[in-house]
Amino acid sequence: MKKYWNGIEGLFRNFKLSFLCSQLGSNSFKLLALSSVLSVLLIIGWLLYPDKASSGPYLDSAHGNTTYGVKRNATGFPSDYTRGLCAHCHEQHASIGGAEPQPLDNHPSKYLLLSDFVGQFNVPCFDCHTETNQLQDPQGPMNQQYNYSNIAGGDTNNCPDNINRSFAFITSDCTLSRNNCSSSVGSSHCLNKIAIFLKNIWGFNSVAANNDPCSGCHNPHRAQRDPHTITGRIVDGKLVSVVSRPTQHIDLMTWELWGDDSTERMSNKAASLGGTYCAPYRYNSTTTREPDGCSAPPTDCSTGCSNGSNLADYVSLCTDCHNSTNIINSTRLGRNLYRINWSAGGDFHAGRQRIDNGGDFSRTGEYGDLLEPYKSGGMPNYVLSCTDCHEPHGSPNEFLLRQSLNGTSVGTISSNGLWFNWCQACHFVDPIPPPSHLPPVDATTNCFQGGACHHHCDPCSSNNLF
Amino acid sequence: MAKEYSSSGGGLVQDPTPNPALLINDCIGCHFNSGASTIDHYNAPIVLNGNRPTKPLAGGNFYYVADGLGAEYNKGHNVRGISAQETPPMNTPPGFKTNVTLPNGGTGPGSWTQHLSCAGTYGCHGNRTISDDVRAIYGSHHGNIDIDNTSPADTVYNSYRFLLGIKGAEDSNWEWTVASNDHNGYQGESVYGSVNTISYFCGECHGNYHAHSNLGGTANVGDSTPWFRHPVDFAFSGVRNGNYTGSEYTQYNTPNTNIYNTLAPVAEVSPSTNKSTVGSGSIIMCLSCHRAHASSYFKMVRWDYKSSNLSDALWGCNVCHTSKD
Repeated sequence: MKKYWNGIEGLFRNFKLSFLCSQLGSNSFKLLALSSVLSVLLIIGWLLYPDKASSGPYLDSAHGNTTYGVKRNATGFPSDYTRGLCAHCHEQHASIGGAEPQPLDNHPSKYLLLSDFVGQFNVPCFDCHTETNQLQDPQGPMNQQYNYSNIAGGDTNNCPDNINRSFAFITSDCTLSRNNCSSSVGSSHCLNKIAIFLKNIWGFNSVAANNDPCSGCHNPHRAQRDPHTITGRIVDGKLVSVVSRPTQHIDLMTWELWGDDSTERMSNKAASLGGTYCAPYRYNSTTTREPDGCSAPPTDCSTGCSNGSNLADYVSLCTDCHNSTNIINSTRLGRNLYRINWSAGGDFHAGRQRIDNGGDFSRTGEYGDLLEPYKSGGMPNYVLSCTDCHEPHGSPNEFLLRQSLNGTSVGTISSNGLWFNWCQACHFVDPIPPPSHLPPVDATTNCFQGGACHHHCDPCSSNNLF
Repeated sequence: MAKEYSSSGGGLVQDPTPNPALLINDCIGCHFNSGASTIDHYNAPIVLNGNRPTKPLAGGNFYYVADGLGAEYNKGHNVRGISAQETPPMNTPPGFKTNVTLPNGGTGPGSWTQHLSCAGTYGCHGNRTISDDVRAIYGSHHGNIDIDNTSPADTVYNSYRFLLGIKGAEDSNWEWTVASNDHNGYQGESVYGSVNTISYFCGECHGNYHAHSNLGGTANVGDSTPWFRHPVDFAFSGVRNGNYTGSEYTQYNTPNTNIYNTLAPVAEVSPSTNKSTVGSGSIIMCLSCHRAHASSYFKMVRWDYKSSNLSDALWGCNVCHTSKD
């Protein structure tokens, strides 16, 4: 509390004068006394709290939340620092009470953080967002941070159940898949590669090792917790959002949440690409939709439940990096990633108009008839969100493909098959091979075929149309 | 008969042992008031009160750490005669670096287990190359002048607050009255290269917290790309590779944007006691967050960093870090 006693003493003297000197009638006297009291109270309030910080984006964030925000429980760390305080993540002097608090690394860390960026399994965020021995108090919620198929898609598979494990589908050097969540073919974003990619662009550091890879998609001071429930996600027109665009990192004052404003939703993005977003089914349901389980019949792709107005525009987020211009090398794949074009001249899952003349394979060039809810959704030019198909952090499947999509669990996707099952979550693939497809078209079919067939592409040949 | 302050009694006591320099009182005794007033009839700045001070001066008040009074050692410097020395590791200044270069020549101590004193080698005021704290301050009170940023700081009496070698502009009543245009003017440096700043002075004992090459250096503190410890003696103009205008610091002290905040002050290259605005040339310093002597808050922070109310706990941070409120 700030004190300005000199000013307050003066006000009290003035108040006494006005009180004593008034000789008007009783009603006027009472009015004058009342107005004087109110005036003094208002002024005292201004004097006591002239510079008090108003609630802002940090206090609205997950880390700054006074109920479940950051709170470090660690040796050598004050137990009575209030939840959300800077010190839980940042150490001003790397010393409290004359010694470094846990986690110990015997030196001050970059950005005053509690630890350093070391590698795929060891970034400061994982001091809390990890499997065991979490420094966050309480620890329990750190093991309830499931993947997108679970939290938005409603899948009951609980592995991975924390962020660190989501990134642990690949080895520390990102060259190979590793056993995780009963999969040996999984994939994750390579954090080191992200740190390198961000080097010297969009206000990130010129040294890759100084870039927090998580900050490529998240502003730790603004990211919010999305409950993925029907209520509580949109308040006063603002959608709860966990992400921020890397391209907005240039100016930290405008490095805001992405998707919170109404113009930053999938509904808007799809429209801008000449199409329509339609939310997929939730897991094992034909009545509820991603990402929050609201109800909508198959015919509905236009209401707030299904039209993408309750979903952040992940296309714009992802294509800040994965676009038709940037060359992104994959250590694990040993090649550059396919470039992605989500405009009208790009993928069929994007703005490009699909080839579909009736949905029964009766016409030339008609392939991959759509299943519900897309089939009954009015058949506009559907534009998908990246998250309809991909996990943002890591997946038991290759290419960060989701375990379940459009309400269907599709098993483990590897380069040897089961793409057929995966694609059939949204498409009906007639066992009679469509033109230009060789038999058999069955569960051994690999729609991707190691890159020979369907995949993201820019530009796309006739074989790669996706 | 000489007097001195007694921490066991929390007041002045008669002392049969003569004080050095024929002084009628010791340091603490002269700068002590048994009541709550922080300027006495000698117009001496009071830094220790026997009752909770009503208007602590710029450096704060040792009341909060004094034995027999506040006695919360983590709220300030634990000075001999006021507080018992803390137990290890806090019996040594955090971040202590041996044999640092002092502004006017000489070096700081090669080790530290002594109890902190008011002045001298193991103290703050006076000539720190002299171990005796009274000798360290010899002649300064009689020669005292009100200094501004033109003072050379080559003797104790013409240095900021008798901190030899430190420049600055002294507020005439030690911020007994304080406002955005009535305050101490703290000496700073844009890129931690000066030995005459208030933050360099703090670094003479807390060396690893200052990036000057005489002190912790960038190896211990980092630089703007990135920092390892909270920077001091670094101007707003240098943030984000020189992109001050795109930084959160342009909104310092919002909603009173870029008005000097006496509770989260900044230093300047040319400080004055009446500069009321903050801009790209303003400099973060140790005293932006801490009081020099003691405060009513944990770790002598200028605001209640341990408040159970998050807004209150963040208040001072948000004066500068305006995007993280």
